[in-house]
Amino acid sequence: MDEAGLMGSAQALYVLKAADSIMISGKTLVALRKSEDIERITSFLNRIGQHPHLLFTMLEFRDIADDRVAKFSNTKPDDHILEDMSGFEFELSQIPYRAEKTPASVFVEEAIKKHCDNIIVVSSGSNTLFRTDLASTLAAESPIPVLVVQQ
Amino acid sequence: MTRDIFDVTDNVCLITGASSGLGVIMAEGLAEAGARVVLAARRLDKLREVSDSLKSKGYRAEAVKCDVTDEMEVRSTIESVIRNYGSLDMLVNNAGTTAVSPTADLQVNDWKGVLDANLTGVFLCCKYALKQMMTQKRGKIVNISSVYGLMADISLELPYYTSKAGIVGLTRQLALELASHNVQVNSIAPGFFPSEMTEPIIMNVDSLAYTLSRIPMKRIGMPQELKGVIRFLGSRASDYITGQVIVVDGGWSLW
Repeated sequence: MDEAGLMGSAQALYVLKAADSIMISGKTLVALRKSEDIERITSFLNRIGQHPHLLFTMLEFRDIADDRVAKFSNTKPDDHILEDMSGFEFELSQIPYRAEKTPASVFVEEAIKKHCDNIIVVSSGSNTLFRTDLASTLAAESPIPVLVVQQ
Repeated sequence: MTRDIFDVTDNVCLITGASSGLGVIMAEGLAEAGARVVLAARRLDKLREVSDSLKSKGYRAEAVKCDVTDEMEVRSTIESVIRNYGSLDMLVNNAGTTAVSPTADLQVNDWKGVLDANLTGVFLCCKYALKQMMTQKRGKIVNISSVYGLMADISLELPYYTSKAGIVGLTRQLALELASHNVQVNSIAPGFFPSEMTEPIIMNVDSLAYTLSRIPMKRIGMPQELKGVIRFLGSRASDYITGQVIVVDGGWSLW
C-alpha cells in the first residue's frame, strides 16, 4: 500500500493495489464514475475481507443543459450489477449535477453531509492521457480520507 | 430617440449549425433582442423544433435546410434570405463537427469531413454573404472558433484543432479585406460548454475532472453566457472591432 504525500486539505490518500490489505470501517461513500465501478470496488473489498456500509453515489447530468442544446442523460446502475451484493449494507443515490463546480467537490460535500468516514474511488489508470482524474481531484480536495482503487 | 448601441432590433441574422448546441442559444440570444433570425442546418426536423420554440415565445425565426459544405445550397440559402428579407445584417458561422481518433489511425475522409464543414463551410458562407454586405456597405460576420483554435490539449481531434485555428486566420484575413467596406469580421472562441460534441467528455467523470482542473473558474460555461457576446458583435457597439477573437472560456486559455 502506498500512502501518498498529502496535498491541500486531504487528510490521507491510500492507493490500493490488488494485494493490499487495509481496515475500512464506518460509512464509506463510493464515488462512482460509471456503474461498472460497483463491481470493481465490491470485488476488491471482498478480496480484502472488508465490508463497510457503502453509499454508492453517481452524478446525474440531466440538468446540465436544456434539451435543445443537447440531451444529457445517464441512468442508475442496472439491477443485475446490484444483485451480488451479499455481505454489504449499501445505498444507491444520484446527485443532480449542473457543472457549476468540480465533480470531486460535489462528492466531498455529499460525503460530509452523510457523515461518511471514507471515500472510495476507482482511478482512471496509468494508460490514459488524463493525468488528472476524479481520483486525483478527490484526493486533493477531500478533508475525508480517500481510498483509490487502481484499475 | 437615440438608438441603443447594443440594439439589434429587426436585424436579419443567419446562423448556421442552429439545430442544436450553442447555435440554438446564440439564435435565441439574437431573437430575444429583436433580431429576425434565420436558422440553418442540415437537420430540418430539428431546426423546425427550434424555430417553433422561438416563435412560440413571440420571436421571429425561420428554419432553412442548408449543408454548409454544399456550395449551391449555401448560395441558394443566402440568396433566399436576401430575397425574403431585403438584407443580411449578420452571419454567424457556427456549423461544425469533429472526428476523434489518434492521428495515426485518422482516415483522410474524416479529416476532410471536418475541414469541409468547419472551415470550407465558413469560407462558402462568407463568400456569398459578403457580396450582399459590401453592397449594403455594412455587415457583421461572426465565426465560431474554439479555445482549441488557440491552444493544444489532450483531446485526440487533430482536424478539429486545425479547423478552429484556420477559422482564426480566416477571420483576420477577411477582416482586413472587408474593413473598408464597413463589414466587421470577428470570431468567438468558446471554451467548454455543453453541446452534443462535448457530451461524451462531460459524461465521463474522469475527463470532466481533468477539463475542470484546467479551467480557473472550475465550472463549464452556461450556454446563456454566449448571448451577450453574440449580441455585442451583432450590434453597433462593436463597429470599430474587426479581426478579433473573443475568448469565452472561464480563463481556460490563460495558462
